Amino acid sequence: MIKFIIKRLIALIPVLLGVTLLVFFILDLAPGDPAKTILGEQARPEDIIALREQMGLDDPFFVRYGRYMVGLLHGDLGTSYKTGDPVGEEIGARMPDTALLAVAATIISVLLALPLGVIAAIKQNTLFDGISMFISLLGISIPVFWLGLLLILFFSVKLGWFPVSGADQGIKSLALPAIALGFQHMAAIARTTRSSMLETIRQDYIRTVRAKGLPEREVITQHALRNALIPTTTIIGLQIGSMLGGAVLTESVFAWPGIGRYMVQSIQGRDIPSVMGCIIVFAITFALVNLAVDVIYGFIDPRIKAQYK
Amino acid sequence: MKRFSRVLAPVLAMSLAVGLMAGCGGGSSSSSSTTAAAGGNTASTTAAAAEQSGSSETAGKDTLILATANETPSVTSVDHNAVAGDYLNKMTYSGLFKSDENLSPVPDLVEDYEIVSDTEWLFHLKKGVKFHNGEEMTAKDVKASLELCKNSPQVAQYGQSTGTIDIVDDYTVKITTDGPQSGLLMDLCHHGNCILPADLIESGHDFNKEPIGTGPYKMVAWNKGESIELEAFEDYFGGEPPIKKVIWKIIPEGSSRTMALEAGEADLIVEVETTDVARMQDNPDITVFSSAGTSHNFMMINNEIAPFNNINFRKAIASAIDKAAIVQVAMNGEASVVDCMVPDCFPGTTSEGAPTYDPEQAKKYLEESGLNPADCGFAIICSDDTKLRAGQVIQSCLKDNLGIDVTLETLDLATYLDVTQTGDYEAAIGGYTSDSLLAYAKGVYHSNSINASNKTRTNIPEIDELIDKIQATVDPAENEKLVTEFNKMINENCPQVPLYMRNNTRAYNSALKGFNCNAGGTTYYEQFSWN
Repeated sequence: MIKFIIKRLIALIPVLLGVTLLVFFILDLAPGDPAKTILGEQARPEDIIALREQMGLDDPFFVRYGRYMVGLLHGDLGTSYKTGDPVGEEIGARMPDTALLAVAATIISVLLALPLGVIAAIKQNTLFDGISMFISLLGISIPVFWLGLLLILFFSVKLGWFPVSGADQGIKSLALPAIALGFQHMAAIARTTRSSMLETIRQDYIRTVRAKGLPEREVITQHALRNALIPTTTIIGLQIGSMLGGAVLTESVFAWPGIGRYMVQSIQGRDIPSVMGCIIVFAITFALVNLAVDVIYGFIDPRIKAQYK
Repeated sequence: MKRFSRVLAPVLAMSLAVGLMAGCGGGSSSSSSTTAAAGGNTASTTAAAAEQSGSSETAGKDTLILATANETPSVTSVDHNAVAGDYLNKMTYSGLFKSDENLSPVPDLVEDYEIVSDTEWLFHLKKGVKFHNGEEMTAKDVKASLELCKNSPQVAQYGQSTGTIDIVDDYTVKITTDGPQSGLLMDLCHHGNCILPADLIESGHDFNKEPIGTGPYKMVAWNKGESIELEAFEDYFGGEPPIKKVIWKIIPEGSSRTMALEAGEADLIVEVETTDVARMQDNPDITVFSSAGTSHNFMMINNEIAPFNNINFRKAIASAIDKAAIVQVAMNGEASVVDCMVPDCFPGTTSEGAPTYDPEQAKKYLEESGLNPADCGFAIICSDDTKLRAGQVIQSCLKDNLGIDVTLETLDLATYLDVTQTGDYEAAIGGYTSDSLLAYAKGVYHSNSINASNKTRTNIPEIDELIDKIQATVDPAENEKLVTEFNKMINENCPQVPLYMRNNTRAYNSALKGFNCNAGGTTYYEQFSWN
């Protein structure tokens, strides 16, 4: 298993090289001069030229890319064009809040989705199935910013139970953004769990354990669910990855000081070091989450674990 | 199906109930409305009749929470030219001058001043002014700060007028300008010219970590992406501010800012969502302030290319656009129609000679241009939703009144800035905000600003000459005459299509006293107190 993990970590290096080169190239092609964006449209042309020189923007593409990669190998993500602060510090200040929101939203979505998906499968074509799938349909259909605003209006403005915005009141601040984000992601997990369970409970080995007289609860939890969890785990992994980088709308509505909002602002301002920093962090996060998912497969299904050499 | 309906009905009912509660957000209440004239601008303040109830709720309160959409890139005075940073700089720093409610420069750190000649100014500083680190401000700090502004690219344009700075004595500074500079005092109001301690500038102090100035508030903490905390400076030369703690809370979403104010989590919203204004006006605990600002918004057109290089075509499209409809559709009424080619709030400005909305006259202009409308279609760049809505009205007006086909193009801000600065565009919705006519004229119409902020690429030697004369005429009466002459000439030339002047709109807790906001959007928070 350890050998497998080390192999996967080594495989991350070419992935990161490819990602950095591709993103650097795309950002370079995008119109817009970072120096002009920083100084504003009233700036004097000589100041724009001086700043371009100071930032090394006039150097050839591969010189700039090389300089960036040398810094990256020394753990330096560069300096933000916009704030002048180290990108590593900027991301470091926001990453814990993003991670906290992603973990909380994942817990909520999994706690909601697994029972919904399992009940929907074992009670297929009944009222429970209808309710479960309708709830997951709502989760997919309701835009997260709209749900966020409704939650704020009801629970913060009307009832005063939770703060409207910010992350300064601990669990009270976390509750509404985590519910809004978790509800959205719950839908996909519930639907995957349902279809996976439906497939599993029709397998011969389930018929066999039923024939042996095992109680239905044990059949579902001990035998069916465990085998049905492989696709669900994949979806949960992908959802965590996207939440770590893509909770921009939730972060904006709840003024959650996360990394998604920071990256969008950086893209708008052509703050290339910040965008690069964010994407590298996202790429690493995605790769590590996928690795974790593969490791978890091994624990769920010993046959898969046996293949990890 | 029946079974499904049974399932669906309660869920839908629950959703509707939540939706209805959302719709009733503001609640019903009585409100009073007052209109006050301030500095030639009409400020309307829809206030609540709840001051008395507010006073009990705010007894002992000494914190002010401001909700704002944007975070400043820097808390230094020279490393940014951002509006969000300017608001904050006005709290932690002071300049030699500041702009009053009429946008006139009034002494701040200066006790009085003398205009020795057209190019020589003597400034006598206030004595006993303390920096946040306890040191006294003297002439060497002024010299070092004004020179720092000249050498900082983000704000260097505001250091051009200050010429040579000499220390006469500890409390007197002499500025010798390169030729007469009528805009000197307004430039000294800019945050780039705020006064910092000379020894800290020399030692390379990190003002972004610890901004030390002479302002009414000291920065305590900057929680990146979340908030900036300030506390009152007890030795502030204007007297310790009544409100002891101020928190700038960054809330990017407009509706969330409104709800934060409604829930009492914020006391003042800096950028008010125009669609929420009516709801807030109905709330007795909230006062909505709305007053004409200096933000001039227009459809810029590239005068270097056909068909916009034809003056009659420019006048035709300017006369065919219903600006009142744009104000309603794009701005929800939170703006006023403008025909004048410059912000019409400065002394000497006039709308004389500028085309007004008149579809019949537009047809005549088009005929005089000799152009076939079928060959005159163009694209308008819109870089945000407000501009897109304005673009849609323009598209409809030009099709209905002149038969011109317009397409709308949405671009992100950085691309929009790039193509409009380099002249690689036909038309775009944009705006320009300035605290002085001179700065506006130089930025928008002087040929020196082509490839920068002169996006219409106006290149008229007579206009350049008049702008230079306005800059060199220090006498206010003479200056005003020149402004009128320039304004008529630029109106006649019609290099762009002015659309509206955006209002400065703020919403705040009705228990706040001392609210102020000038046409430039500057607010002096040290004047605030709780009722």
